Amino acid sequence: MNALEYRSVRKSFGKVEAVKPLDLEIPEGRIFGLLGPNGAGKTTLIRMTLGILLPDAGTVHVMGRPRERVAASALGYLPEERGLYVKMKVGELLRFFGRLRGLSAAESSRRATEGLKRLGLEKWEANRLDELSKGMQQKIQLLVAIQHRPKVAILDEPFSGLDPVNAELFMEVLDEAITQGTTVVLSTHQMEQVEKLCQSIALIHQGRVVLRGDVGEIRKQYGTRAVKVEFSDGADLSPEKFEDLSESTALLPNEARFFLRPEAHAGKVLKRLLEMGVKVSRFEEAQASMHDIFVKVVTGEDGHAN
Amino acid sequence: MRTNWLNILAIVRREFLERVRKKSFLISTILTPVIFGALMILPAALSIMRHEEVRISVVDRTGWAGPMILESRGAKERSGDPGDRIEEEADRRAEAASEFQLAPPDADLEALKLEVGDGKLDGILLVEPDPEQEIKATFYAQSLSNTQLFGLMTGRLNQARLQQKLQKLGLDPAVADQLRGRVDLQTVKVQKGGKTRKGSILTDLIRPILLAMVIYIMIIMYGVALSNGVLEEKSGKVVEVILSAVRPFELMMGKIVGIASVGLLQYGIWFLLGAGLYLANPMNVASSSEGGWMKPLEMVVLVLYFLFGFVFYASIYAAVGATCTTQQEAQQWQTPVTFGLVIPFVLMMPTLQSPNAGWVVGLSLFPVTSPITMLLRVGAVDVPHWQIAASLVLLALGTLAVAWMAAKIYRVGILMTGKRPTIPEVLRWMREK
Repeated sequence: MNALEYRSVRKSFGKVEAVKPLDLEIPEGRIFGLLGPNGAGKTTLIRMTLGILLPDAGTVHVMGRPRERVAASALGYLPEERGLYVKMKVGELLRFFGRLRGLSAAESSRRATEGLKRLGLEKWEANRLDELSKGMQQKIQLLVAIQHRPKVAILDEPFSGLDPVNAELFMEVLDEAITQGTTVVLSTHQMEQVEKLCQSIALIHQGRVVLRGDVGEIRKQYGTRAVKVEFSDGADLSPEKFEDLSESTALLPNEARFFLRPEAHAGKVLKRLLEMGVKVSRFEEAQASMHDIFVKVVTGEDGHAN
Repeated sequence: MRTNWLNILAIVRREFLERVRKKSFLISTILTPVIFGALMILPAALSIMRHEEVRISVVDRTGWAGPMILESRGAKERSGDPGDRIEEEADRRAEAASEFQLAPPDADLEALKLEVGDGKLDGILLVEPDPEQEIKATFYAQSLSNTQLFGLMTGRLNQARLQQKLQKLGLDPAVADQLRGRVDLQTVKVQKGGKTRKGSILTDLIRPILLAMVIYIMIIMYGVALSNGVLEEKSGKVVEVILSAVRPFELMMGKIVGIASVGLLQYGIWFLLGAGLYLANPMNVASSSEGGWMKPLEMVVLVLYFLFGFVFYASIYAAVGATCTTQQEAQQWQTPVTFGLVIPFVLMMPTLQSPNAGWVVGLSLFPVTSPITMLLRVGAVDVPHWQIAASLVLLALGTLAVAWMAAKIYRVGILMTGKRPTIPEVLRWMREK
């Protein structure tokens, strides 16, 4: 079954079409990456999924049921910015949101205690949220989003403000939630995480889905056409010099990635580099990173970088 | 999706507990009656306490008035009301503190003025003959703000004049004492069916003002708190998390009812305090408010007008909070909202003087002004029950309409960030599905 299903969903704000007629299925289970540059329409799509906004046209289904008939307990949400009452005590806040998500008083208390313990915050239950560090607050946000074991949890940049150790802990907790039947929709700009966590993704750009599918497949599809070069600092590899070979070029001080045109191949790039006298220290046909694919698709779509 | 009352209840509970537990609630609950009490008692208490010695030199150019002025008493006759008793005491003390001395008949006024300028003397009372009024008087002093002293001096001068007139007419000066005195005007309130009860300024003027004042303060105080609460949720993004679980209407209603409950609790505490004071009766005011300080009907009407009036204005405040992005912006818009409450207050005196005039009845029926105007009327006269009922029905309908519109504005506004919307934009939100 599809956890989420969008059919011809559309939303405008005045003259701005934030989401153009959009179709998308997000399969049940595991972690789905919802990607897209700023202003792509992701937040609008998320808000329509959560029922904060109503679509102008089209339908949203959650676990096969129309969004309007889905109970609040089926969804969880972690917003990108801090979304907590900072003057409230940690335990009370968790119970409050538990109640709003349909848990009984006793059950919400139990889950709050349990969740705080799992994230190592049991000592903070009686503290006010503004006494917690940013990382700790982020953990509380995660609990608010998944403590009621929703069918679908939408997490917007959940790893921001977390150190690597806590990010690992976050992952473990997310894994447990997935085992218990939650589908996680992850919206992020951190592409390494997408590669590490997501099985499949959809890339949204200018209100449309421009790329979707299995992360491995996508990388394979884009990767065979990319070349990664490492070179001594100082060489001028400006994109114009490779225009005939490379559709787009990602340039770092001593590293470059070329996304080859259909007729070009890696050998030609190496030849050009040597002709230019560039001191190449490493040359490989790279599997494109999600970062590269993201940049390529987004800049390629409207012809210039956003 | 139908309105989920459990959600509203959870929000009411949170709102109530968070606010009641704050220190500011405790402080305002205790301080408000203390400040009110102090405002009523302090001026009287101070007028009794504050009496520095005042030395006044009487320069008599008539040749006869000086000794009379020195001997007579300037205090007015007063009734036995508690308020008057305080003033009487204040006069007595002022009298005791002022020392009148007779200057030599040929005293040099200019020299005395120098003394006043140096602070050696507090004032000069120059008394001169006058063909018609017998005497005319001029007072010289550094400070001319002590009105109580003027009263005492005028009293003395009038008595001296009276004595002189009596003497000229050949009457015994003792007649003056018989001529003094005053008539007490007793006030009796007549109700429907000819029933009467004793009424006074205290019950018929001060009480309605107090009733209306309490509503006014509560609506503004808690309305602004609500508006700021909405703004806080909005800027903190909590609202997105909440709105992903509840409908905007549920959130708005939960907040309004939650804050109204805090207001009612505070009311209740003050009411019990007041009832306790009334029973303990430290100032012995019972004599002037026989028949009870508040009728049961007034209690019910007060609570109903508070509830409806509060929801009416709170809805507008919630919408204001939702359309603004900063506190300053919100404050600018909170002020015009209060006009509906301020206007009946400005018209308070004419309202109380003719509580059954057509325009007053109109204001007491119109939902925007009715919470204040009707309470003023109910305190002053026996308002026909049908008028109260009609006014409450209109207020309830008005409240529903305003809450409905506010909910629409709130729903869209609460998610908007950045630029503050223009009024046409806000109007368009109301039409949005």
